[in-house]
Amino acid sequence: MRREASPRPVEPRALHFGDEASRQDAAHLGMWIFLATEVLLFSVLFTAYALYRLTYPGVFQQAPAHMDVFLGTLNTFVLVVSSILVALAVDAIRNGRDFAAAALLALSVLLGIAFLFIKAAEYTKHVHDGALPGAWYAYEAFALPGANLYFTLYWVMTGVHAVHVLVGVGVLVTLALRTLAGEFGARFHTPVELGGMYWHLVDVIWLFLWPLLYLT
Amino acid sequence: MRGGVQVLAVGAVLLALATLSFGLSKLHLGAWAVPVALGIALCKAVLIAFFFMHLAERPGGPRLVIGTAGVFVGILVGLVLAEAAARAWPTLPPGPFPVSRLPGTERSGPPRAAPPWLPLP
Repeated sequence: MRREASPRPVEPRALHFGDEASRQDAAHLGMWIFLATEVLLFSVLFTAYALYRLTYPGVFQQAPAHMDVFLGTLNTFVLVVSSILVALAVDAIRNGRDFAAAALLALSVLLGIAFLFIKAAEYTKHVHDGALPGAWYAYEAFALPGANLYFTLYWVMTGVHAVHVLVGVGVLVTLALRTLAGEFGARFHTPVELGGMYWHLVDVIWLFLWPLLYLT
Repeated sequence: MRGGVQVLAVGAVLLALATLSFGLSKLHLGAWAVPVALGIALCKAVLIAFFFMHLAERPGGPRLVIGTAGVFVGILVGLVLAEAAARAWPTLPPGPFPVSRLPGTERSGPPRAAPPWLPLP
């Protein structure tokens, strides 16, 4: 049974939350504050990367030769296309095309899952090579001081990012199902916008990880 | 539909920039490789934030929050790098001294105590 897409039945209890626009402002501001904390989480990892790249410049420059640049680049395009689909989904729901929005969200979910499978294929190759993080590093073909630090950072940075992709896929699945159930429409779709923003942040983080770990 | 066209246009620019990043990595820009790659990534991030994450339609609070986060990231990375770059190089790991292993963690394998200023094989 489809519910009527309508603003939430919120009783205005305070003047500053009296209309839907104020509630949207508050929701977006809250989401940006949350995303800022995510940025600071990753910035610590990027700082560690910067410090160790400064310490072992030659090793970090050689490292992409030991990475699967094709799979990493493929994953970049997978995530960017999924971001475009989510942005199109928000545009669709704003214009009341809720079925199109749900379909676009479902497509981005598929791309998110594809990203995780490609990442798993890469991880499998690194495990096979013995390019493991920390004290487990045993990659004979790249046995230089600092090489283990590169791969430790690689595992931690892409691992934390992959967890975010997994969470993002869950968010997008929830949004797609709730959109199909008719909970969102042209008048109320704030959760779709906020969930989409989380997915875009995951994409942005990867856009910084990709050149640092695979290209330069 | 105007919004849809805008999304597709921004998306096309993002894909083009990603292709540019990949192409430039083939040219081996040396010392410029990292700044150029990060500059392109920053352009993509700004495009995504403004057009996909609705920053373009939300002046004020959200821009202040994410702008401040950006400044703080700059302070963190900048100060850490400035301090590390100002150190005398023998004090950086592994240093001109053998890396001592923790008790019980000796193992066979390639030596890892080569100082970083030696040319790499």
